[in-house]
Amino acid sequence: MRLIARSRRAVAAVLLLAAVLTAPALATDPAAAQVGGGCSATVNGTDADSARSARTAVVVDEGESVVVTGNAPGPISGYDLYLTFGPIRFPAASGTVESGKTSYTTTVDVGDYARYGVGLYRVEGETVGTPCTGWAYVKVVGPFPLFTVAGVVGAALTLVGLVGMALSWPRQPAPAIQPRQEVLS
Amino acid sequence: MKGHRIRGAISGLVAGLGIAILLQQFAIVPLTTLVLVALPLGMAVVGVGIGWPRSRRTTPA
Repeated sequence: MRLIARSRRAVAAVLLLAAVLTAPALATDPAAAQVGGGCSATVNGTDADSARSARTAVVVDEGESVVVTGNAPGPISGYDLYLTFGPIRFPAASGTVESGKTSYTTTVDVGDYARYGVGLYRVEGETVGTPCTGWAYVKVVGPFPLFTVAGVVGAALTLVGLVGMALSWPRQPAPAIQPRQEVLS
Repeated sequence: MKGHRIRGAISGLVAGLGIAILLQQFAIVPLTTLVLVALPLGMAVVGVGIGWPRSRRTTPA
């Protein structure tokens, strides 16, 4: 009974810890940003709607810039672009447009924001005035992933975690040392 | 036999986070909220399972 109670406490502690550690990741909802009615966007000439998976992501070299265009059904006064890495959202570009315009074109230097790694990033765009939101995945190619800062951090965390998991395997407790019996005869 | 469930769970969370970053870096899976939550949690459950104490099997005398 005592073992069961301790086990339940242990599982509850783990779940609580997991909830605390993963709560920031739940703060943003990636499905919330989608090109709405009358809105459209392109990334390097590719329709943002068609670049929403790892396989269809827009491929960009680490030194290249990404040209983003956005169109709204009504006049806009400005735009904001973000680059997201998990729950972290970096402002990548913002600006204003001439009065009465319904579209914008800007460039994002991906290398400035993805300097610590390569891989898949999400480019998000918002317009001010007539609200439009859109996003697309960009695949940054460059050095081998394990030669980047993010790759080294990921590999180190994986290694430390797997070693810790292996060390948590139940082991036989060491036998207690028996006091030596003195022969008094 | 004495196990280490907490150590296993924390190690699983760390390993899951690392694997999620590696998957993003190798452009296999985007680093979405689902990946960031499900992978560490799944690995934590595996860690708890690995560290769960096992009863010693006794042979009849």
